[in-house]
Amino acid sequence: MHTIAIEHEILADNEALANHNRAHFLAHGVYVLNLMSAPGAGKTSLLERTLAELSPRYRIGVIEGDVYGREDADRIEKHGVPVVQINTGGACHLDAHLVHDQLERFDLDQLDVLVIENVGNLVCPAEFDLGETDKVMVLSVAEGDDKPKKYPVMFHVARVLLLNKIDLLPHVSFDVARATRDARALNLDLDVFPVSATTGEGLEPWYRWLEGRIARAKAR
Amino acid sequence: MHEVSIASELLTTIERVARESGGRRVRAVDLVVGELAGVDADALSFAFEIVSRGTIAEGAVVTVDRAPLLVACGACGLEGPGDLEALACAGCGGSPVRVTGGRELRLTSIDIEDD
Ligand SMILES: Nc1nc2c(ncn2[C@@H]2O[C@H](COP(=O)(O)OP(=O)(O)OP(=O)(O)O)[C@@H](O)[C@H]2O)c(=O)[nH]1
Ligand SMILES: [Mg+2]
Ligand SMILES: [Zn+2]
Repeated sequence: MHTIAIEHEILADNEALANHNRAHFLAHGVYVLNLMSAPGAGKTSLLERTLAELSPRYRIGVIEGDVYGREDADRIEKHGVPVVQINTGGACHLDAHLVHDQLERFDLDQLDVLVIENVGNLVCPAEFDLGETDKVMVLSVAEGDDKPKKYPVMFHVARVLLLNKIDLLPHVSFDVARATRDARALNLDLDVFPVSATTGEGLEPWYRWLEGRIARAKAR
Repeated sequence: MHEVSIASELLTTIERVARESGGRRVRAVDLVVGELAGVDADALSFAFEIVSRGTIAEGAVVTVDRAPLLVACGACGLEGPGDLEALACAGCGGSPVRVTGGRELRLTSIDIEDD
């Protein structure tokens, strides 16, 4: 028996394809957002709000990732933006390959923004780079303020945390300060926006943040 | 269960390396998985056992070396171990901290049978 030393990043293939996707996006000046959360935290609801606000001024495309079904794509379609549904058929996350396969269905020259809604899952999507500009995660207050302690990886990789469903704060015991502190404990750069997709509260700062990022992607 | 996807990627690499070195059986696989890699070592070993059935790596012993969480702490100014439970610097308890290690997910070596 003999040992072969290797030193190989296990996800190198996904990383390479993600960088390939990223190069496409950069070349076309498209800002790409990877939207992640546990099932039901409010990704699609927040996306619908964001589309209503920004789609009059920006050309936005959407990729919906779900294990099964096209419920979310149907919701997005009503907003009159191009949308593609990916069904993973079991896998708990999107990967760079699945996204790459759909890119030809968009005319990137005709897009300012591409939003990729990942499969609802608080663990797996964190490991798989899609080639996005920013990872945005949603945590709803209904899930509990202990989530950063229990799922530190997702909070570590995110660029933005949308703390959703704050309209429910009177009904649940959720310490916003604690959740914010713990979410930022391993991620000094994390921006946190407490919001409600239902009432619209808190969404203005998020829209302004997003506009800044879109402008930056265009300027490059 | 993204460990299954990761195990499949791992198997692809191992099969390629084993083929390049003569196509003999793989007896052992050594990995480094960081504490903050978001990968369960047992689940990954188990997934590898399943996906490698009927391949050149069937029955290979998977050994996972856990790389510790390392942080740069603004409070004490040191770089050292982090406390994943407290989400803080293990030295002084300071938080927030900048993560400098613990995200590893790497194949380091394989043992191949000689003729
Ligand atoms: N009270 C309240 N309910 C909300 C809010 N945002 C979303 N919801 C509700 O939460 C449920 C799930 O919302 P979705 O937007 O479908 O969540 P999602 O993260 O896209 O879910 P998956 O794609 O299945 O993972 C729906 O019933 C929404 O109406 C909010 O801010 N406040
Ligand atoms: Mg959804
Ligand atoms: Zn310290």
